[in-house]
This record gives sequence, structure tokens and C-alpha cells, in this order.
Amino acid sequence: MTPKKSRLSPGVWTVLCLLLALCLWEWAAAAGHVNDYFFSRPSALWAEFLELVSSGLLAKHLSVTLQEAGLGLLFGGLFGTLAGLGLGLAPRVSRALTPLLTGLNGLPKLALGPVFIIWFGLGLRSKVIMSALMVFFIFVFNLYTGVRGVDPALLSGVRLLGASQGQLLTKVIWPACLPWLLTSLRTGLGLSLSGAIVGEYLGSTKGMGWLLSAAGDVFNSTRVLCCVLVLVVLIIALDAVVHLLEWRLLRWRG
Amino acid sequence: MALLELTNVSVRFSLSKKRPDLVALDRFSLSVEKGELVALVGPSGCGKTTALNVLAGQVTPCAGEVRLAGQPVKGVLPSVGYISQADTLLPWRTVLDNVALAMELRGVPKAQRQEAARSLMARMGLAGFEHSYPRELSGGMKKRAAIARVLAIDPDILMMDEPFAPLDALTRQKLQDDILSIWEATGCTILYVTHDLTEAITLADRVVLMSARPGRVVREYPIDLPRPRRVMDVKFSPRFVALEKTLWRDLETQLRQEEAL
Repeated sequence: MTPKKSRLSPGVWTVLCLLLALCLWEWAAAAGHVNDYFFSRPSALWAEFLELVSSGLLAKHLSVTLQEAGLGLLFGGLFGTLAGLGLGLAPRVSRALTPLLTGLNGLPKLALGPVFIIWFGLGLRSKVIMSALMVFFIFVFNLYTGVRGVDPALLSGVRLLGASQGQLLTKVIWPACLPWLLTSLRTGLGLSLSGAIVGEYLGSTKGMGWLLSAAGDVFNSTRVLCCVLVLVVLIIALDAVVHLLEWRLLRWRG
Repeated sequence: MALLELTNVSVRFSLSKKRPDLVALDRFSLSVEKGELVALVGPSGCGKTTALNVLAGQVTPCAGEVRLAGQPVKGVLPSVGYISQADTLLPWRTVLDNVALAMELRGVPKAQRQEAARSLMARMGLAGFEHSYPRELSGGMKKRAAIARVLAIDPDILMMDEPFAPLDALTRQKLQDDILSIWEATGCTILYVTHDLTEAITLADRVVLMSARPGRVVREYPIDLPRPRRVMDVKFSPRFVALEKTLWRDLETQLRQEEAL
């Protein structure tokens, strides 16, 4: 028997919570409990959103940020995956390199932003590198854990069926690591966007980070909050896509 | 000439630099004829599995000779099917794709290997579960899928390492019957490691009793029960009971000697 109390799906609850918060906000602003010059209000945000869309500003800046974050995720993920797999397959090398990687990962990468701007310029490159660096370590450590965690019984079983080293990699190790890859992808999505936006914030001429910082400089809190909300919704949507991918690829886990 | 021959094989494992090496096998000799079904029994930790792994080319002995049809064994043998106690089906593959795996590794085209896998599954009583994942199968069905997977390479030799140990008695008995039918139908050679004396006598032409570690052959017992055998038919025959008694007595002596050490 399933309890009949809550028939609504969790997704509906998410939306309801959001709506409730927005209503409270609007009411508080209208009643004068919060100063909407600093805190804005949902109706103003909506108007601002329509304005950003119709003027093409949002599309222009969002596409820049998405491109940076996408490339960052691609390169960070690709190199991180390769490095993680490589370290997992070569335990001796990994013992030598892991302390180094842990140290590098511990660095506050955002603090390196200004140096990246100096090294790689104000354009796309510095943001992609920033973003890639944010996600690289996630992939390295997750994939490494994945490779080390492959059931030795599976490996020896398939080896005894006549598999070569290469086949063990493609038929056993890689599929066993897939859940770790997808987990990294989920974590990496948000981080790659943060990397790109912070990079833009520190020095750029376009992108959501630039839009945010420009609006902040003139105390346009409505635009700042509107941009933030757009990013939140975007991350939720992208996360849902990865979730779908997980559901498709990891059906065997039930 | 024997099909498989181990002569004075010794195996040591070094556990750590401080402790002395573990001697798993000490001058172990065994020969298996083509088409024979031989069971290796002995107290736990006596090196039964190590002996099997040496034969399968998984463990390299530090002394002695291993020969297959007169040729020295190096590395994993392509004509040997190995079934272990562990569940080694790949959890992310459907049962059909698991059974087809060995053929896939050998580059058999997809349609052909799926066709062969389907018929193997039907033979093992797994028809209808082609698109299930391993987690959806019972322990006995998983084992049958693992057997089907190994039969796909049409092995000359089957090596089984306590394959049915984790299963319940009834399932185990059914699978033992399956092994007997496969052996009768294919004429393959089977080396069967078990700690279960009843199972060993039921299946084997010859039972090889090993000593406690370091493993050595203590005695061999030809099992002269009539063929073809079915588990239920032999299990209660007077001859079976007599054989079992002898083996138990000798195994007990082994265990007592081990305790005395």
C-alpha cells in the first residue's frame, strides 16, 4: 500500500514552494516591509526579464557564457576523465602525482582569476580555462575512484573469457566508471558555469558575469536578481538533462 | 598422453617483506585425461583454487611444469572455460549480451553471436530472460547464465571453482544435473574444485584429495558409480555411501594432522 496523502509529485512541490516565496516577496515589497530599491520585487523582475529578452541582451550574453562554460566543461571533463582513468590504471604513477593534484585542487581557483586574465586575455580563452579548471579535478578524482573500485572478480572473469587489456578497458572498466562520469557531469555543470561567470566578473566585455557586474555597479538590483534567477533556472534545467541521461544509461542499476 | 599435466608444481605467495612466503602448493602433481571429470577436494585453504588457477594460466608457478596436450602452458588458455564462485556477469549488460560476451571478444558478428547466445540460453532454461539485467535473476539463474557464457566459447576444458557454493541445496542439485548433462553431451574435460565431498562423488570419475596447506595430493579415489548419472539416483546408493564414508574418514585424518601442527 502506498500512502494516499501526497499525490503531488516532488516537482510540483518545488514549483509551489517557489511560487509561495515569490508571493511573499511581492507582498512584502508592496506593503513596504522591504525596500524594493535594494531588494526589487517579482513583478519588476518579470518586467526586467521580458525587457532583457526582447532587447536581445539576454540571448547575447547568455550565449557567450554558455559557450565558455560548455567549452570549459568539455575540456575540463575530457582531460579530467583521461587523467582519472590513467591514474586509476597506473597506481604507481598515481601515488606520485596524487599529493600534487590534491594540493592544486585545494587552491582557491577563483583567486587565480586575475592572473588568468593577464595570461590569457579578456576574451573567451581565460574564461574557458577558468571553467575547465573548476571541473577538471572533480572528473580526475571521481574517475580515479571509479577505476580503483572495479570489482576484481569481474575483471578476472572477463579476462578468462579471453579479453585483451584493451577489451578489459572498453568492456569492463569504462562501463563500470560510467556512473562516476555522470556524477562528475552533474557536479561539473554548476561549477563550469560558476567558473565562466566569475571569469567574466573579473574582466570581460560580455557574458552574464559582465551583465551582472555592470548592473551591480549602477545599483540595478532588479537586473542583478533577474540574471541570478535565469542562471538558477538554467542550472536546474541542465541538471534535469543529465538526470535523464543517467536514467537512460544506468537503467541496469534499477 | 594426458590432456592436462601438472608435475611437481610449487606456488608461493609473498604477503609482505617481513613475513615468510605462503606456500600454497608444494610439489603438486596431477594429470587429467581428455574427457575426464575430476574433482579436487580438501580442507579450506589447501590450495585447490591455486591449483586450478595454475592450470588456467592465471598463476605462474615458481617451480614445476604445466602442460596442456604436451605443450607448456603460458598465460590464459583460449579453450578453457572458467566458472568461479563469484558472480561475474557484467551488471550493465542484459543476460543475452552477457552470454554473447565471449563471442563479442572474439569478433563474432552481432547477429550471429546473438543467435548463438539465444540458443545457449534456451538450452540452459533461460529463454525469456534475454533482455533482463543480472540483478533481476535469482542466484541459480545467474549461475546458469554464467555457464552459458562460458559454453559459448565451446571449451575443451571446463574449470569450476566451487561454482555452486553460495546456492541453496535444491538449486545446487539441479545445477549439478545440468553439469552432468553438459559433460555427457559435449564430452569436454571438467576439473571441479569443491569442499563438498557429496558433490565431488556425485559428479566425478575421480576424486583427488588434497592435504592441508601446503597443498599436496594425498590420495586419488576412482568413482565407479554407473553412468549416465543423475544426482537423485546415485545419492542414496550403497556404493555412494561407502565412498563417502572412506573420503570423510581420510579428510578427517587430514584435518587432525593439520590441527596437530
